[in-house]
Amino acid sequence: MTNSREILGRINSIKDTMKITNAMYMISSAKVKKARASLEKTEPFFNALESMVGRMLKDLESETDIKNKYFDTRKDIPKEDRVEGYLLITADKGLASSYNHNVIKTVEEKIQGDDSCLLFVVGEVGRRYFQKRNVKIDEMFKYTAQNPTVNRAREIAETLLEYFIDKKVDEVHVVYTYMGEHNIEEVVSEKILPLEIPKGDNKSRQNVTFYPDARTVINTVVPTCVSGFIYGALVEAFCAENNSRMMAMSSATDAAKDMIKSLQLDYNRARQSAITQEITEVVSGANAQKSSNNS
Amino acid sequence: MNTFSLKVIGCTKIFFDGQCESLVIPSDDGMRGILAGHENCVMVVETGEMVIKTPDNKEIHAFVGEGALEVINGDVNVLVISVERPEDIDEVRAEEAKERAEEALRQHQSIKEYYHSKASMARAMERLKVKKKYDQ
Repeated sequence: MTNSREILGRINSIKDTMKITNAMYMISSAKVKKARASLEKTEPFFNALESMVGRMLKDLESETDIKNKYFDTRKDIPKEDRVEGYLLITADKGLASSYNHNVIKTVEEKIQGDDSCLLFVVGEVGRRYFQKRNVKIDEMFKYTAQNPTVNRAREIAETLLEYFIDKKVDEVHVVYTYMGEHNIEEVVSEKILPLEIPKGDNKSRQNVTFYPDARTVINTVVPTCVSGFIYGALVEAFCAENNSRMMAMSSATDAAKDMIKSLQLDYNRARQSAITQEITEVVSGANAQKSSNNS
Repeated sequence: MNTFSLKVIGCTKIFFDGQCESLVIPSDDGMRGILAGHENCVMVVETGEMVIKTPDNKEIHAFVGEGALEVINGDVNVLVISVERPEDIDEVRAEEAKERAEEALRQHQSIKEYYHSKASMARAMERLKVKKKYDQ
């Protein structure tokens, strides 16, 4: 009888875990819905920004003003001395299958054998991971990955621009998870600073005039552009995070259901065999009694 | 009056997409107006009040944050971090933001923090101005 009681205990504990995973599934599916909605809302801005900056940079090529602080590629600094800054976006919590792992792995591959990089980490998981491994991270940079807001993106952008202009970093890359078509998640790394001027054909140039002048336009547009880009990245990553947590939790719940099913079968079997055994014992006992009475 | 197609896109929504007669928008060196047939240009947009005049003679007033405006072949695109109608502006929040910025400005700050507080103060004040002017 102990065996069947043990199985019953396991079934109950799995049922309790299933309640938790199921609740987490519900929560993250609600969050995904919210994140999707805000993703859809930002997409037009994001796309328009990209095409506008692309057009603008093409026109700048002719101007002398491209010797701007945001275009400074710092070619005079040798490769081993260049400080590369990485803004990486992870989740605040785990239990999201390989979401965090993928971002961390991508960054680790990039910084391998390079001591002169500086990490700006959004989200607790990534921060703790790199702190343990003694990678240089900016300690003051503490932002949550939950519910991205324009204000937070603006603060992050200000910090990054300040580091770049003060020459504390020479390049800034953003590593985040992108939700592609059919919900396939993909880690992407994009260089945001210094800005690169696309080497295109001159035909596509529109000959635009800059008001008041090209320098002022760049100095105002670049920070907006960077905050816009970071906001977009935060929203994408938040959406991807909750999506992968939702998937992880739904498969955990499914696995729990399968386990309960097979355990229930084991339990029934154990119970049945116990009953059979008891009946056999009673019957054989009664038979023994009968035969002794008869003799 | 001639019209041109105008798109005003904020960070979280498309605010306006359609024909318009004239557009007045705050720029680096004061208010600038745009009419149909403007030359191709890129312009800085500063925090302030924007006025769109539609063909049915209506005026749309709105608060805009920092961003840029471009005219490409007669089409005008305005890209700004935030754009809000007077009735959507949260007066309490703007008031609080202004107080926070005022308080921060009284303290010792780094240059970055100073610019940051100044910018939040400007945003809050412009929001309050637009709100008080048009939404009573």
